[in-house]
Amino acid sequence: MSGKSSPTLARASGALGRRLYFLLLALVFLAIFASAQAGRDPWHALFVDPLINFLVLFNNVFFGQFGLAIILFTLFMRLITLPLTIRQFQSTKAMAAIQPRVQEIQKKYKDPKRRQEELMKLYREAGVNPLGCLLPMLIQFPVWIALYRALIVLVGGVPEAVVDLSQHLYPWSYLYSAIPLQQHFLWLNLGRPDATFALPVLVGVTTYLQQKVSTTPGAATTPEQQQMNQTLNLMMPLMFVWFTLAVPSGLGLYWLVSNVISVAISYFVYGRQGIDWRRVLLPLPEPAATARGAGKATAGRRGDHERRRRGKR
Amino acid sequence: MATIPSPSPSPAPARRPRRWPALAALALLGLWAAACAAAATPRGWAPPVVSQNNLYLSLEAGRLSAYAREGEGWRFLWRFPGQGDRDLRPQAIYGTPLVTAESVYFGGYDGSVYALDRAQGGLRWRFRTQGPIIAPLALDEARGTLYAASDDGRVYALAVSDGSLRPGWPFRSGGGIWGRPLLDRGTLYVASLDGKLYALDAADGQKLWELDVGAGLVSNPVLAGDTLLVGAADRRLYAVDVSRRSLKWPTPPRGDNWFWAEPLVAGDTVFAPNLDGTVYALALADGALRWAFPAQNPLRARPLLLAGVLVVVDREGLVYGLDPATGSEAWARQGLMRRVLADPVPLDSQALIASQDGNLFQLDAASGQLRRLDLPRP
Repeated sequence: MSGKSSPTLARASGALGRRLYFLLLALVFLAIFASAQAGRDPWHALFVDPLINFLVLFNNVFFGQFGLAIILFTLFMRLITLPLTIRQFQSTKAMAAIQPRVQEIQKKYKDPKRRQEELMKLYREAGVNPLGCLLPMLIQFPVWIALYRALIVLVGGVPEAVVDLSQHLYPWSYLYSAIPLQQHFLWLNLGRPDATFALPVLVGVTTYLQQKVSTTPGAATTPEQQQMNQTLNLMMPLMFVWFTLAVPSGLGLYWLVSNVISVAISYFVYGRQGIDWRRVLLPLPEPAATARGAGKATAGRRGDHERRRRGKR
Repeated sequence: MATIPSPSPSPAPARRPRRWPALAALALLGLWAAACAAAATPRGWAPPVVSQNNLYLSLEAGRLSAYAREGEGWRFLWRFPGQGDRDLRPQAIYGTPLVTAESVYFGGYDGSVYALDRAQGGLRWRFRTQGPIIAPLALDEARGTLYAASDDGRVYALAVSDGSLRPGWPFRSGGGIWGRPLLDRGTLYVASLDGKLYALDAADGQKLWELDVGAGLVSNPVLAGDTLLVGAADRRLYAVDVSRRSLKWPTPPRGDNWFWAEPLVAGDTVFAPNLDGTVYALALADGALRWAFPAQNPLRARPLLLAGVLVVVDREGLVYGLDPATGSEAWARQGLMRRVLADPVPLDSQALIASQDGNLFQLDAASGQLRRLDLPRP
């Protein structure tokens, strides 16, 4: 009985989820149409301006400390998108777990049609959607871009930026009275790049950690992919160090907090056993997926380390 | 039957992993992040100054140029900082430069007050404050004192001769200062972002009195008789009776945005542009609205009354000529197609308008005819 009701429930919740997605999508399109009709830039009216006003509100609520407002707002936004983030991580994890079997199928079946059928069968059996890790990311993407734009407008600091900011605020004196925002937080001037290099270094280190804990070992099936992962793992932190040196510290602070939250989410999704801290903290090469580790990414990871140790001896 | 053993297949050469997908992804990410994270840089909105047939203006961010009038044209004199001033970087100039017989003074966004030799443009002295200088300077020529208000919240009184700090100064307020210190009969009025208007003894910096308005004061204050007008962050324009040390208008008028532009007082009318894109004409006596003119874009620049026409320039460079009595348009609006944040200034019967991209325009206020001035570049 229960065995039957679970899939039914899952199907029902899936259908409800799809309907909600469509409803949300329809509402977004309706709002875009309405704001375009009203002669306003829909991107700003729907995404950037609400975030700007929300951030200023946070600033007012949290004692006029804009740095604190950025931290709490980042936490708040990550909390709202947490279900999507967890789903993305879980999908990535599940995809990594079946990679060895995917490899086997790719080797076994030369006919593309048959190969595709077998792959789809595997995905069905494992309950994995190959686009499952992409969709949550795609949904979050506009939010992050809008947040970047909002922060750029808010932490601009220079008088010209304040004139621009005044055009984005809702007509509420409570919001206007907060401007100009308090630019100093800890050792930082949020409107200027951090001259002490402390923030860029922190952003670089946390980007590296975030990259390492969120990429599941075994996801790389080919040497090319391994190579790409290794390059990204090193280049991304360096790039973010460079960005943080060039942009207002407010943005760097946002990246830092966001990275720390990502590491924490990875910890909870993969579990303490799921993260190989030796691999995270040492620049070891990415292990490739093996058939032996099929279905158990963590076991495969541990096996790789064992083999590596034996090889050294 | 003997079989010829087939040669063992030689191992296939290991394929060299391709790096270009990763590098392409990084390049795309870099482009995206650079587009998203372009930080605002200060440009400044110092209005041009015309003094004794010379023109002083900031054509580029953080640089001041001087020109001499020659017939209908202008001859380049100097530019500061020059080629040899590599360690001097004012970044941007927001306040109107002050020009005397011998010197030119201005405040830089780098937090320094600069005193230049008027003839050659060389640096005479420099005084560093601890915050950007956005407010215009004030000068007391009789005492030989220059007043500089900084975003560090302090007001500095400097000797014009050598830039030394006068005894008793600086005065410290509770917030940054973006409005010009206003000097009147020995009293220096300072409008601060901490929401207070301070009256200081201009000689020694002692506080005479203060009035808490309750919202950060953003605009340059102006004085008409005993009435001081200043725009605040709560979107209101306040009138303070400085003799009674109290608010003059019972209900300060409120716009939909800040009154950041300096108000203009002509007779018994106050012309107050607002960032909501409206010019409000108010009665000086009680702040009652006489008329309101809706421009197309936000208004940051102070209006100018010239040849009986109120010249208004909006942020996107649309120039309006209004009848000061009714607010109706005297001539068809003109477009500069450039961003304008600097105040227009008079030159004979014309108005000079500097755009943010470093161009200068001349407007005939009576007819509304516009022309671009071709200034020789160094």
